[in-house]
Amino acid sequence: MSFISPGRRWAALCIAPLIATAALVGCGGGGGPSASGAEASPSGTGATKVVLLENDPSNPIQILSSQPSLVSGGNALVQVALPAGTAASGIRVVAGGSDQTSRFQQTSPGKLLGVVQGLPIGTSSIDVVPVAGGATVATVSVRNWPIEGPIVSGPHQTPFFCQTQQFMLPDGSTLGAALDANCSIATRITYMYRATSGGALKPLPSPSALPADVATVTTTAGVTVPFVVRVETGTVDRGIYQNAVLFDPTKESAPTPLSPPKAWNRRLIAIEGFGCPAGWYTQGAAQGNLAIAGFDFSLLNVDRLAEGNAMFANTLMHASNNCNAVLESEAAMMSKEAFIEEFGVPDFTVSAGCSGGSYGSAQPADRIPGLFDGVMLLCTFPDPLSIAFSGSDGHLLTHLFFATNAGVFSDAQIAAITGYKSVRAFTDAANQSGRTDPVPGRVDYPGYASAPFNAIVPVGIRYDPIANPTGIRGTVYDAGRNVYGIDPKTGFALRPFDNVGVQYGLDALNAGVIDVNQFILINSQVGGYDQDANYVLGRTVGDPGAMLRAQQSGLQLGGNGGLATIPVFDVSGIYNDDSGYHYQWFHFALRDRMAQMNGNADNHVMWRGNPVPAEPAWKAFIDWVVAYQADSAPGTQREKVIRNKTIQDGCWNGNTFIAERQTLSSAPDTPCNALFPSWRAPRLAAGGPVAANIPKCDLKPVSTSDYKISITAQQLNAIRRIFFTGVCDWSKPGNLTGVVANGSFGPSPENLVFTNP
Amino acid sequence: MKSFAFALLGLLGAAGAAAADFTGPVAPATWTIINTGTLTGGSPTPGSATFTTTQLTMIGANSISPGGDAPSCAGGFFQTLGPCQLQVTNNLPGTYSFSWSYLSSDTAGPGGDLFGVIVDSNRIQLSDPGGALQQAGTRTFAASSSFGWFINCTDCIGGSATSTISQFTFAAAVPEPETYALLVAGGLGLAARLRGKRRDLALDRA
Repeated sequence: MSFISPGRRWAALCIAPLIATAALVGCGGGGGPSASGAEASPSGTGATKVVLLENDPSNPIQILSSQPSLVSGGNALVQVALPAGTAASGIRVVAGGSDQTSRFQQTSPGKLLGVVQGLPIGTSSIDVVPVAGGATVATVSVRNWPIEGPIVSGPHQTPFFCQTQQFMLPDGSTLGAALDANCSIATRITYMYRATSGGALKPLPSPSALPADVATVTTTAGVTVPFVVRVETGTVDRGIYQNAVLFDPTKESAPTPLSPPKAWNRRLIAIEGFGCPAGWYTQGAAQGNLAIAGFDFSLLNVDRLAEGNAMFANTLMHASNNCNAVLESEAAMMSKEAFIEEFGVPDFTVSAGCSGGSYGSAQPADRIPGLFDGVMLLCTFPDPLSIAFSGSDGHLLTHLFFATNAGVFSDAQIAAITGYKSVRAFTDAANQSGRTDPVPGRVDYPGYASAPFNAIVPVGIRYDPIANPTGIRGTVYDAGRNVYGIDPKTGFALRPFDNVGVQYGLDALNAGVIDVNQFILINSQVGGYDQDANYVLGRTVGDPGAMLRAQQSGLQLGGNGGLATIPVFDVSGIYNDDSGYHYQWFHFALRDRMAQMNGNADNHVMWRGNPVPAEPAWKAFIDWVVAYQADSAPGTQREKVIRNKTIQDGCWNGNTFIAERQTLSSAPDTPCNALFPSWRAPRLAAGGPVAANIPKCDLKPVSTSDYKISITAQQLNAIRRIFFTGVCDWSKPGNLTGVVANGSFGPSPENLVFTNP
Repeated sequence: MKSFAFALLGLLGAAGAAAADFTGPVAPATWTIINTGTLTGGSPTPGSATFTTTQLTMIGANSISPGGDAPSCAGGFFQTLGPCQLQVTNNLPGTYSFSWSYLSSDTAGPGGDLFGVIVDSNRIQLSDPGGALQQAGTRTFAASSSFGWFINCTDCIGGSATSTISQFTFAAAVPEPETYALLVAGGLGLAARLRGKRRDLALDRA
């Protein structure tokens, strides 16, 4: 195995956004999305000027732990290339105004490596100067941000409830009270070990002596060590940050990039999480450890640790604590930086997860190219917004079917109109719109839960339209108010949901499952929502800025950012289109977004199964990442990812793999679709794209060509009256834009997309 | 005593008042005709109502769309009960029976103009928005405070609807049996009291 050098890694990282931007522009013609990228405007509806304060590959000083403009916590891992003919002893490294030469060591001929410390908040320089005096040999500007953030996610969410006293360390202790309002704690180290008898890790009685029953393990790098795991816990970006890696405290000194743990295989795995509802205003009392369908996405996964992998997590990377992908990706970025400054640059970083862990992996990967070098997605959703939007469509329809027009439609008709497999599948998905509803205790369809909050948020400060109209709102939109913007009239987050022109039930009409009068009834009465998610008669007009920024930020997954250049391995995880809302169409939505934005989804592979064999899948994923990283032949990273793809689409029938391009179909039209049929959602059944990524459709006049059934002039007129501004023209891109790679929502000025006034 | 008994009978007679057609207590002059909502399109024509003693004819509002097929009714949505209505109402509690016929001239059919009754301020739709252009029926409603009819032009463009009410009868609210019992008991009590006073007067005279 060969690895690319840190210098090459950063070059690749810095080029990735440019590739993504080029890809975006390339999609601009012929009905593709328009380019983003222009000056940030006060309304946020303008595009963003792409200006990166990034490593200049020709500069002898390279920041390896982050982009130079996004340093946090005052530290940075720095590589210095010595001037030709200059000995290490001939130069000094000055950072933050102090001589930090002693922190550097020569790691290879002509290269020094070290962690500078104590960088001041704001912009400063790191300089290489001759010991003998004279002109500065090299300099680089860096901008340092507080370790508690924010950097790119906008103003800190307030209120914000610390949960250090509830957070439990692996030895069973808790962190105690936070040290400040930013929920900080003093960093601490916990050691765990695995006994020869197996089982879960146990607390190490003493870091100075290993117990007699400690197991021994040999890593993928062939290093044999006692199975002792060092778990570090601290706070980064106001979240509780942890890393874990094999480490023998009786023989090794504290890890540094110059002396990392000898059993670390230089691979890093991000632990994401799950959930979303109630993921606001909290620090988080636990990481998003999740074991499901044979997979174990946990910080202390003994199989992954035994291989020598390092793991890292942050409570704000766990969607149940924080369902704002901009903040989540910031927490991941800062946590990875903290890891690198302590252990060194990994050969690669991958992220994997199920459900909330799928978008917890995909969204940061897309927002920040280079953050992850591959993602494995199970129980896939492109983003929480796709759940909210499809749920909001469905919720309007539950109101129509079961409240205002009860008994008018048969179960078969409801399934056909909504696209789901059954009424149960439909109502389960529709109830997920509760995450957009700020009104507490709303009584609606059974199972609907509005205004979800973590119990730590006091009831007395929560929004209530009557009792507390200025309270904090528990919705996925209000959690992202730094992105969506704020309505100056109400103080509420602007909302991106829009259903103008959507012909609900169009496919059911054309299939003859409902008649024209039923179609007219649905579309004349389906209505929309107001800012409080109350039903209103008219369709909902989404806020243009909120819709645009949802995409620029990656809160709606674009697929044109970092996802364009890394392996994306999609695995069923949960196969259940009968209930629950983890439905198959979401998997295809993600793939279609990537294909739309990048011309194809050749860097995406889908395995379906119930279940998919876990360990073969994990091995295939890692092998793919290793293979493309080892490719030193000419080519872009995307080209390398695609040409080194060692796996292909298929499904698992028990232990038998059926190689087959996976397609979205409820019909048994292929062997895999016979095993794993898939259904759709209301907007797809209204003619919308599977990608489900057009927040606001382009409109066209009502035309008989939309309808495959006999329709009278009177009925056509009735449809025209309902859609007096036109119906959705799904052949057009609507307001589709895509993500702005490395987009900032403040305070970082680089790539600034938007800041709330 | 005799005068009181006549008064009681008179009261009972009034509670059971009935009328066939638009006469007596439900004569045309007793009805209120109003148009609600705001028409925003061109050449607005408000709804109108015309009575004869045997028939009420209501014609809903209409106007020219402010653009394309945009609704002319402010806040109105096609086929959805909304603000732009012709209302014909009165405030007599009682039982109303009638035959109705409805004819839509709206190019989008009956969904553009909804016809129904207003019982105690609640609107009940009688025309089927997905039905035929011409519809009819016979209905009876009991109102405790008010009654009327409406034509709601949902978007108020493309033509109006006409509704005709005929074979109309009205029976004013009749007290419940318990009410009769109370009246009778009260009457008997009053009679007994009068009789007692008379006896007292006789004793005084003795």
